[in-house]
Amino acid sequence: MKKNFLLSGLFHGCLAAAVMGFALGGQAARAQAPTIGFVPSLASDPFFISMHYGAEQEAKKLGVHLIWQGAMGVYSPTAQLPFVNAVLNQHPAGFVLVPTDGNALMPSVNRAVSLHIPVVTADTSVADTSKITGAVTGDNIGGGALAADLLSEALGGKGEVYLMNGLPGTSTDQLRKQGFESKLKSYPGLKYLGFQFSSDQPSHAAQVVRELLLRYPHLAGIFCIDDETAIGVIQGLRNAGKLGQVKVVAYDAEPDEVNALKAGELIGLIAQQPAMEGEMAVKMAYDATKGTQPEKKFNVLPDILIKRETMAQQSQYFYRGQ
Amino acid sequence: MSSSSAVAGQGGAAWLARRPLVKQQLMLLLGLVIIVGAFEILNVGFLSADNVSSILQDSTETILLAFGETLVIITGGIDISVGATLGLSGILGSLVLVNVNQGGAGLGAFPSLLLGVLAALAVGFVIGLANGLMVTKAKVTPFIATLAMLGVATGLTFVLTNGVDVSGMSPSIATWGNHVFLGILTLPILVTAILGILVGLFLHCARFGRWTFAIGSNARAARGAGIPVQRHLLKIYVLAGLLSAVSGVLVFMRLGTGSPLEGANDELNAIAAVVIGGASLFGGTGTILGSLLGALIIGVIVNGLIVAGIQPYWQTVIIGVIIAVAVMMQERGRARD
Repeated sequence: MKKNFLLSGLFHGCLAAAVMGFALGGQAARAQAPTIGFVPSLASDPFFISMHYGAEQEAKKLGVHLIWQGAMGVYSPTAQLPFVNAVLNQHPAGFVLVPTDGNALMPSVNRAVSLHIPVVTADTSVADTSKITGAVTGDNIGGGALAADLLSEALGGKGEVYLMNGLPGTSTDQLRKQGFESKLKSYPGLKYLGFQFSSDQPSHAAQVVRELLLRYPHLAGIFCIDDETAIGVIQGLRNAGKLGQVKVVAYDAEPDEVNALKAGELIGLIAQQPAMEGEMAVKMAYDATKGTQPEKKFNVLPDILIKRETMAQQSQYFYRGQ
Repeated sequence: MSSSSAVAGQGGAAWLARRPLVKQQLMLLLGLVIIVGAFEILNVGFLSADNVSSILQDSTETILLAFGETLVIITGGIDISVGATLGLSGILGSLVLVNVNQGGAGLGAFPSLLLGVLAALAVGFVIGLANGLMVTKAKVTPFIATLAMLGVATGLTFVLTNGVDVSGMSPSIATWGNHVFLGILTLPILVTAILGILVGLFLHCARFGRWTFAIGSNARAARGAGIPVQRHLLKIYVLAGLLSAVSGVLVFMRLGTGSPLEGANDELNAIAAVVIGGASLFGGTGTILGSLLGALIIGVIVNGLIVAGIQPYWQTVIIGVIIAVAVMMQERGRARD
């Protein structure tokens, strides 16, 4: 009895101490400056870590306090909602959102607007853009087209190519696929064999590649729609002894991918500009709190093609690890 | 009916017999109060009506899944398809809703919603029935049966949608799903509360519940006592499916769209809530109130850490530690009692 009582006291005591400790830590970081809330679709990813970096730099420059909070691991609207709600409940002066889903986050944007908090979207936008103050996105269609261009160049305009897609239902992936497929039509020498999903799991991507090579022994080029897929495809090619023979282009410029490019396992990367997106979004949200409309409401940042030969000069586009 | 009056008649005796359970739940409640109190002391506005409403609203999904999961876990089973069921029923419900409403040209928003709800419930019923039949007739272990169903339902969700949202829902739906009344209440919160009371009464004050506990404690003895074990298990899995379907409906009402990404990994939160709430995966114990408190503890921690400005990476660490500590304490309590 006594032992159990002690244990329970210990448990509740630790609980209280832990919560207080964490809360204090957070509290100490808080300044009196105006606040911008920023909710990414996922917090745990070099793409968003880079976006966070850009946003933080801009916030420092403007002298505003940035609240950066996002789900980790799980990518879905209801995983994102608690973050959106908790940040809005702190009544920030401005709000930046990277929606997991342009329709499903619409009620949240409406809620922010009803609280008189101006909303800016980054990376992807929401269904009804009349409610938002500004938007900044990457050019995913253009990026997909860049991948087709590079594959054509590397293969001398001739050969069989394949698309390794990521997770079904991801809007940015759909745009990249669209850009890739429509640009391929202008290269009649490239034969498009179709696509499969990697489920964003390297191990699954590696397995699919091994099966692909059995079915298409003359496969010459692969476009990987994101970093997880690219890492798996490289592994699959290595296991099959085809690394270097099959030309691979991959989206994003995460640390693993940059290393692979350096090692010659990839022929090129299509990098987005997450840090720049974060900077611009924070600036637009800040301006909106001052009543200033952005120069341009919809800002599209071009995606950057990083080739092996020029990568030394393009290191500013590599994503940040931490 | 007669059974519930029998329990009521036992009065004080029943209370005494359940004392360890009552104590366990008081401890959980105390834990919740301490966490809430700590967050409130350090974050002015944590307990604002807005934020309390957000916490409850965002927790409804896990709470409803946890109710169904509690029933299954008490029988000694497990249902890992609840999240996928939420996803598929929500998608089919929103497809029906959008297609009969036709952007306002067809049926009105409310009758369309009713048809959508019926479609979602039908999905939940069929999935629950299939799970139940696999477990009772085909003798597949619950984990494997519902694992298979998790795959089937997740896949069908993507087959139906091609991975794209079911959009074009009448704006009234999201208004109904998010409108706050009486300061903190919303429709999802109200529905969850009513279902919690109903399931709680069924489980703790009716023959249905006594049979559920009996099966979980010792299925062979339950069979010997004349309890129709197979049929009862079938009902439990169907009920879990239906509760997941209701959760699917509430999710699309909150979002104002049918998202194929919904429900993924939700089963883990539901199981965590049930386990924090004091149920044993070996069956025979568990309460609806405990699971509710478990889900609320998770919801409060998620929200509180955000409001406190803590790096999001800590959330899962803290929730993991709480699960471990809660279960260790409960095991000690059980060994002693």
